[in-house]
Amino acid sequence: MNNKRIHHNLSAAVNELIPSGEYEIITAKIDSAKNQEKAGINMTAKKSNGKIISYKKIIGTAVAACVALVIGLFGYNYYSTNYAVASIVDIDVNPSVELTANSKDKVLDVTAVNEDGKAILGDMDLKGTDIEVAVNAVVGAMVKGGYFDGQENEILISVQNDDKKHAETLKNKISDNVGTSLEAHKVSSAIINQTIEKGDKLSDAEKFAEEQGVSIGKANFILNLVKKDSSLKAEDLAKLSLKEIAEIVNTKKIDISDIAEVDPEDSIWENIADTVEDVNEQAEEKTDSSAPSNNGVITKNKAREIALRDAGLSESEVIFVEEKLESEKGKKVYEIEFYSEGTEYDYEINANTGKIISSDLDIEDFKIPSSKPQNNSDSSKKENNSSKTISKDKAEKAALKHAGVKASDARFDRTELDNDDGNLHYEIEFYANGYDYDYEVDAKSGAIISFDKEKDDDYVDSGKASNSNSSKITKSEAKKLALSHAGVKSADAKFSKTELDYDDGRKYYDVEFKAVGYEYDYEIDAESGAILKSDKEKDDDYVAPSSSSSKISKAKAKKAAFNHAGVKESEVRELSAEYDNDDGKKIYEIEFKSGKYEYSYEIDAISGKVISHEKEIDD
Amino acid sequence: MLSVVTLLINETAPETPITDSLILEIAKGDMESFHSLYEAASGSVYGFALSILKNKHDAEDILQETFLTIHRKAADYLPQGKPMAWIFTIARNLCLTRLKGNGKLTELDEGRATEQAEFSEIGNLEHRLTLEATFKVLTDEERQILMLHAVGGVKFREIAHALDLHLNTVLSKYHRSIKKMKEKLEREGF
Repeated sequence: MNNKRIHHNLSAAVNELIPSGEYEIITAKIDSAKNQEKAGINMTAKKSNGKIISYKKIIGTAVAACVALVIGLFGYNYYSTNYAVASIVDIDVNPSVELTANSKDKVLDVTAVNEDGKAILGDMDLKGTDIEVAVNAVVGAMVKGGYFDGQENEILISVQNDDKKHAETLKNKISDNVGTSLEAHKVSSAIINQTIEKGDKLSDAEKFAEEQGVSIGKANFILNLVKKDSSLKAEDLAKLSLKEIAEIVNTKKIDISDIAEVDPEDSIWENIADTVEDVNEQAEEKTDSSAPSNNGVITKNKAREIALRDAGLSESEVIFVEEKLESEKGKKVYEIEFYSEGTEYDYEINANTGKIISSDLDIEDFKIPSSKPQNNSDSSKKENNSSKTISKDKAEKAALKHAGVKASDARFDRTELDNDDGNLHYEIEFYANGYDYDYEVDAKSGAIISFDKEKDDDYVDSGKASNSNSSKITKSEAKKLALSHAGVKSADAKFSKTELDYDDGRKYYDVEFKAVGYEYDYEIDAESGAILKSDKEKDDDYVAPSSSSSKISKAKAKKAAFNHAGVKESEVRELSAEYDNDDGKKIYEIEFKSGKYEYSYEIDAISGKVISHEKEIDD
Repeated sequence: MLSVVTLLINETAPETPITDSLILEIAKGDMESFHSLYEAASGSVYGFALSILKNKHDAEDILQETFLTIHRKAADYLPQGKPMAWIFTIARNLCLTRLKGNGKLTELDEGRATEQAEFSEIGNLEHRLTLEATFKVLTDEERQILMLHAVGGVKFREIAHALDLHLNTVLSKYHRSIKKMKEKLEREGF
């Protein structure tokens, strides 16, 4: 059991607890809040007339009928005659879902009409939410589930109500809402609206819907259509998608203007003509994807490929342990697990999008890492060949190896991938054996870009037993020797190279760094610490710190903080200074203690100005 | 968790880092940025709320409310380079409000908390026991710190800011909590 495993377990546990439809519910609530703002104006207007529009007794039914269809914008309003108690709204895509609401527009129940509907609903708990919110959540989940192919889509909304006005209002509200929500999801879609009123036909439609396993809205539309053209058979139509029905409407030139309210903003006939063309083109596609549950799911091989590419490994280097397609709360996920050289990789890949949901790698527990540091060299060889980003784990190891610190002795305070100056690198901070280490490791090669080692004053020295480096002088010591020779503060230096080299049987450190406009190159004897060579050149690339785009040195930032606080550097204890750029704003975060106070500063890394400061009594 | 982030960066669609500019995009009404933020921060917000409220249903509500508040208040956000601290301050305040609202139920809550801190829906036993252990062996503060760091990869500095604690306190509490968790889980055979 290590930190990482605890982190991973917690992360996995928490993410499993979050219901899959949460984001949809949130956006749906945002949408409905927006609509309520708009509606608020209307409501007041109506109230002054003494007439209050109420959405009482509205039951929403969302049913879906066709995958990836185009019909453009239609508005069919079906006013069949009555149906007693409540009202119903239908929305059709392919997953079919039915919602019922009480008189306060709160959802009473949500049921899936078909298997896809079940998948979409997952464990979304919409009971008690506003009907509009619920419809939006369902539509959002459909989008997320990949039921809209991103090109042209169709969705049928039918509203069933005991009162035309109620039905009309709710229909408009919902289709507005759905339109906004789809737009937000960047889905272009055709919304077909139909309003169903009290009608004798409805019970027929209901019966028919049940017999045929279609939604009521679709059944109602079919029955109406059949009445207009006796050559059509309702049973046959029920087997067809909405798109196909629309095609029939077109080819038979059935005038649907009396059974459908056409949205004047869109030319349906033009859209239908387009549809007809698309029908021919998509006919084959459609039969391929006739099993909608497989729609858009990537193959297992593809999932493998994605995982391997991410891990930077080839198929021959790994042993697959487990590959399975799982349906987690309506979301299809590939779980891919494989081993390579004692490392276990664990991936979860969204089967619809191919996006990696989570990935994790663990060094096998039975190999004690501190006793087998050779593992490092194996993997670091590979790092050099790979153009990929190395893992955080590898970066940490590289830093540890460089520092000559055992993994068991180190306490990592920070390991972050940073994209400072366009160079992807890890910033690693750890504490070990009385020292605070600060490393920058190239995220591609794993090479140490810079490092810093500071004595932690609180530490009681227990000897240098942990220093496994065979040469007498450690890299950090060599670095310090070079710095002191150059008269440069470590905070000002940017190390480009610190390497142990062999020349004529002599071991020496090659230390290169840049500081305040100069490039330094040192060779330091690894045994004696003697400076074999020193070189100082003007750095042509150097931009003076006053220039707006470059940051001030850490030392300057510290000074600014000390000056502001009115303390002398010599009076400062427990100083920590961190450069922070990952939030898009370049700042130094400086904390220190002096006297009985604890200070916390944020210094603008460009201007050197104090952005914020805090002074507290140190407890 | 950080290794997850790392590996995702290799992908063509990298996980969006949570930055001031992301919040500013949300303020402009960019729903794509909002979605990115949700993807990046929902786990830690939920985990944080869970660690305070000890109840999944409340945590779910807080998750929703936090993101609704983020969406509503994004325009008021003052970019100070601490977006995570801002988000968790929102989440924390919502949690505290809820705790106050449930004030009458505090006595009942004690019993409820232990009952609710069982997560049988988590399929993986190790994951489940790890989460349950945070409720058994950690103090509230330790649990919150561990959750923020482990689930959200939130920096200790930002945790300190959001929880109104000193950085050193956060660090030592974090290390203590990891130690306790290790002991507990190793006792349970992991």
